[in-house]
Amino acid sequence: MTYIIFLVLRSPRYVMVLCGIVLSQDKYASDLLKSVGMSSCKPVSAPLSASEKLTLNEGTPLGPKDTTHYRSVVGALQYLTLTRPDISYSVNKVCQ
Amino acid sequence: MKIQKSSSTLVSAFSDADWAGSSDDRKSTSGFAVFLGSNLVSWNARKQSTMYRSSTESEYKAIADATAEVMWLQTLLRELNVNSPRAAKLWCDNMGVKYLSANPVFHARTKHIEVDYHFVRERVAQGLLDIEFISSGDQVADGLTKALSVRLFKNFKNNLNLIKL
Repeated sequence: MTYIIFLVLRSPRYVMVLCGIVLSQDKYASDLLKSVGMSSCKPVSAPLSASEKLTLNEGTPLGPKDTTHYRSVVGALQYLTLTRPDISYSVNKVCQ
Repeated sequence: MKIQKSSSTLVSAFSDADWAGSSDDRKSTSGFAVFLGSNLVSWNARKQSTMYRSSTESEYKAIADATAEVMWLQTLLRELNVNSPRAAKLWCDNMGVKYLSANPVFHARTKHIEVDYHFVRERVAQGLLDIEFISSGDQVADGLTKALSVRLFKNFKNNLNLIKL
């Protein structure tokens, strides 16, 4: 297992189907979900709402403890973009 | 993410910018996706650090960033002795940028992007880079610069060779 860099190379089953390799971090993703207690949450089909905008001045700021937690979660999400380029924009957005 | 054997070793990049997309400070977001043959090898989505007053300017900045990445990949391929077409392809969805990269026209509004401009133009003049126009609808890097609807997002994932396990 090459879990150290959070990459699991899926091959035996998929090689035959696709004549290629599949890079996946599903273990990393599910571990991350577990660590934030969201493993039973419903999945969505798009990561970010196209109609609503995130702005700087709306909502209430997080307390110091929540801030640290938030940063550690979005920091962990950045590693997930290694095999999920589709969420790069959303992850970059929540890191701003 | 799926990586398949590809007969082509052409480096192609898609570059896009969402001009003044941030509603807080009106900075633009730029993104690019670089493919080797049919496989995605490198991508980037980030908010630009400087202000741009026209969409061509911010698009140009995105192209300069993509060009730097393409240059790096071209050098790497050469070092690995991989035969790859001399000129990489770069797809952008702004016509102004294409004309700017082919013609040495300068005017007041493009002066401050001179460095980016010369950088990209030099590569085009050397025949190491081809800039082509692509319609916004077919732009692969679209999803790296803005939030997409469910339908477009599905398309975007497909274009990036992402599959469900």
